[in-house]
Amino acid sequence: MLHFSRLKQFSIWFVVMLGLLFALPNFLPVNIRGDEKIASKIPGFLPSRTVNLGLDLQGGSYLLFEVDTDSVRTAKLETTKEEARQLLRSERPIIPARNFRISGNTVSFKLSRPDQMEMALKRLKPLNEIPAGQLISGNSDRPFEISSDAASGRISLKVTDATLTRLTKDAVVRSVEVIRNRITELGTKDPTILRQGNARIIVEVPGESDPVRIKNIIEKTAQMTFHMVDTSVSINEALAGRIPPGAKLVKTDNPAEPNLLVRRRVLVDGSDLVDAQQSFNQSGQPAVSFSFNSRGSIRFGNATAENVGRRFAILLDNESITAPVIRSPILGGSGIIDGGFTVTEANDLAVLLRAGALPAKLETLNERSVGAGLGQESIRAGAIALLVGFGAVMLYMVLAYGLFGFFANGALMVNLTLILGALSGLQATLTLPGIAGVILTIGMAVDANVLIFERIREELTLGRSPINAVETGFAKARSTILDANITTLIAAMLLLLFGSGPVQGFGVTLAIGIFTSVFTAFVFSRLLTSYWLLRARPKTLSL
Amino acid sequence: MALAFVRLIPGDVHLRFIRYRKIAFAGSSLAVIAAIFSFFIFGINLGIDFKGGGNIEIKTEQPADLKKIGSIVRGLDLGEVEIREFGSPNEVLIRFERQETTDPEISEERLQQEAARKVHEALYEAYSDISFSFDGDQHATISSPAALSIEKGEKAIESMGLVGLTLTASEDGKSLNLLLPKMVVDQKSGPELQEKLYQQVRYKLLETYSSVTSQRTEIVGPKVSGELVRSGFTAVLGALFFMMLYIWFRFEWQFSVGAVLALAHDVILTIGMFAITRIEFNLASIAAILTIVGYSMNDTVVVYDRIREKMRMYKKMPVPDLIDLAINKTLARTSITSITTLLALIPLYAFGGEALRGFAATMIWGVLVGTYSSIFIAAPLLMLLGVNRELIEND
Repeated sequence: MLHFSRLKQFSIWFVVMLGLLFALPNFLPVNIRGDEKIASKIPGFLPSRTVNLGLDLQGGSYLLFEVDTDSVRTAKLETTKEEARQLLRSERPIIPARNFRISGNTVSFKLSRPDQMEMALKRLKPLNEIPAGQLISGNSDRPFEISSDAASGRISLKVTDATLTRLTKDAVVRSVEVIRNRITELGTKDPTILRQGNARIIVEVPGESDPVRIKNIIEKTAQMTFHMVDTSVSINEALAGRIPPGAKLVKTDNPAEPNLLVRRRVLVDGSDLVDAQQSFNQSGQPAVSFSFNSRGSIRFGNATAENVGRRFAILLDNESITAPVIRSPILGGSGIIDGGFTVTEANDLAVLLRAGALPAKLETLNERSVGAGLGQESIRAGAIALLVGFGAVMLYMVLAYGLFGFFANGALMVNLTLILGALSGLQATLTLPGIAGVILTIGMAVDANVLIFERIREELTLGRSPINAVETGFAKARSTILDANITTLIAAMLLLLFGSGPVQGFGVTLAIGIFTSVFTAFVFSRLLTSYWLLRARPKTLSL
Repeated sequence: MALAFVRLIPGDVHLRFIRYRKIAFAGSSLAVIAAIFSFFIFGINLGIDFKGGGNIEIKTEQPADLKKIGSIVRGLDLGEVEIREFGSPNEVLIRFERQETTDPEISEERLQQEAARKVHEALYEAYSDISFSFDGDQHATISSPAALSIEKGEKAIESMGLVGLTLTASEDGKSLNLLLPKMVVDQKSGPELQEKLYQQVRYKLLETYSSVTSQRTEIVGPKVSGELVRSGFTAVLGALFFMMLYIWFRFEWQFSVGAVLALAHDVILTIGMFAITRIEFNLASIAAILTIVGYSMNDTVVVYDRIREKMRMYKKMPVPDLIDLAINKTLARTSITSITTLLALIPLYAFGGEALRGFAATMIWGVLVGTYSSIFIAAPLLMLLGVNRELIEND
């Protein structure tokens, strides 16, 4: 146990030095760390990363969003309904159908002539094609289960669960991208945007302790669509419930005209936008100017040419922001949205339009924000507690074990360095509970040394020679140390698995601390002891 | 070295722990029953992590008047509200319970956020001496008995990302004129929009000129809190299960049952402590319980290891004597490790800040209970469970 080959000695010192190297950047003063001139002189192979402070320590906002799966489903069903209607009319003879209904996961309708069933099903086929991406991934689920009743002429399209799951996942992935674009456009530094589980997104913005603006800009779905205004019935009739087929009521933010009846058919949508900028209209009011790609330009041009003198509405998230009259065809593919904005609102809307639309609604589930001042205070309090605890434990170890206490303390100092090095190297996040984890580790890390020293004492009372006693002490304590630490590791792992946010940070430092403690207490302090024993060759051991 | 080491436990102790097992079992059973009773009678003080709602931590310039803050916040009609000093006389924690609604159209998640905003707004208003007047259109005046710094206001508006507004100071510097842009919708004016914009700016300015600063805000909606309860439970039960498995694998089933019973004892007594002390039970408490489980298991394993070793060594010694011997031999280690852990935890309790105080207190309790249970419960339980010596010897 006490003999170390040269290679072994080298490896142990190597690990210790590596830990020190990774821990070192944390001790550089901030002004040196941030100074590019000095930074460029440090060779690139040296680690330069410092401990990643959690939001509770550096201040900032944490937001947990959930994609509204209902809105994903509703959107899919709504488009399916419209697509089905279009497909049935796409060729001659037109297949008349009525009673279009959405209930649960199903769109259903009734053919006016049940004998057209076969033709209808054939026309609906494109709806149920397997999406291209799925074929590649070997998944051959069709989007719908189609059932038909020849007698009544009823056809139902039921969205499969697999499709809903895929759509949700898709929506989350796209949402993450959109949110990243939006937050980057806002100019916040180092935001973290992560997908969590099936339908959740975590957004962390360091340094921003007021999450309101971030939330406002994230929660906007920014689905911009252009529709014709429906004038076939008056708005009062529509409000009374007589909404013509293919039309829908939307809200506006204009108190003089709180509701508007628009055609459901989308003339052009935001996906054809190539640019959006804040600008001003003729009367000097802030507005948003936009331009379409060629596809969008053609569609928008045709639609405006066909409808001169009528009104169209620009809907943002299903709310009309403006509904101007088309004075002349707009052929250039660009236009202006004039919705009574402040400059900021116009600017934010331009950001939203540029960054793209969110595929589904998002809801905030959990929100934490910490001011930078409080974070500083927490670090200071944690550091004081750490130093006092560290000092008390070291003092006690010397009082209890004399020289051997110093060995244990050497191991403890290396332990702290290794924890710091591991946190920096792995870029694990240090949270406030994480600091508690480090402090607790200090108290528990010496346990391995205590086990060993007590064992050596026992062996000495049995009359063994010093070297022999130390040797046996280490050997006999080994399995106990392993057993004891594995049980604590089980607890730490469960914290990592089931904990969330700051508490996970506690699990991280606890787990790291277990590994470094076993190494320093069992391996490193044994090396120190062996150096001393071989050099001093004591006749008796005072322990 | 003729140094006298500090030794709490002399090297040759022979305490008869087994003899006191009946007292220990009876005492522990009573304590466990008491803990369960207090849990059901008093309940535990669940934090927002598990109940939903919000925590708002504010800092005041002068020592905070809890009564005043209490009456302001209670006036908002947010249900049960807890208000207490947090760390220093200038810091106050306001906790409001989960806001509920029966209206399916209203998002409960959103309600929590609105409640937090209301609390902030009311406190900012109460702790600032500025007053507002708004003409419902483009003009608002912010006045104060003392001079108002216009730079602060401009900075605040800028931080909101608003640029279409202008702020001008009056001659005496005691009031500011705010000019809002005219909101026009389809060439008709929108008073509601105008009001909305004004309210946003008003909130920001109140925050800016108030002597109260918001330190920390946490809002937990009903969805997340439900999940946290479940995952907390899973984590603790999972830890017990895997440790039982590990001990079973390393020792015999009697050991694993003994160890888990001792752990359950620790967990129940810790929950009892939460019921009696009213310390807030939050995510950190789950972390503390898991660590206590790990710590107590650690202690138990050390004693068990020694029992097994002695069983192999002294084949003829009766089991009670063996257990006593093993406990005595490990007593020094058990107590010293408890002491060093407490030496680290007590500074954490004293200096680590209010946010970690509950955690530190729980851990201190857990270390004491865990140490006790390893010696007085886990080891003597082996006798009751009947250890099979032959299996161990052949291991």
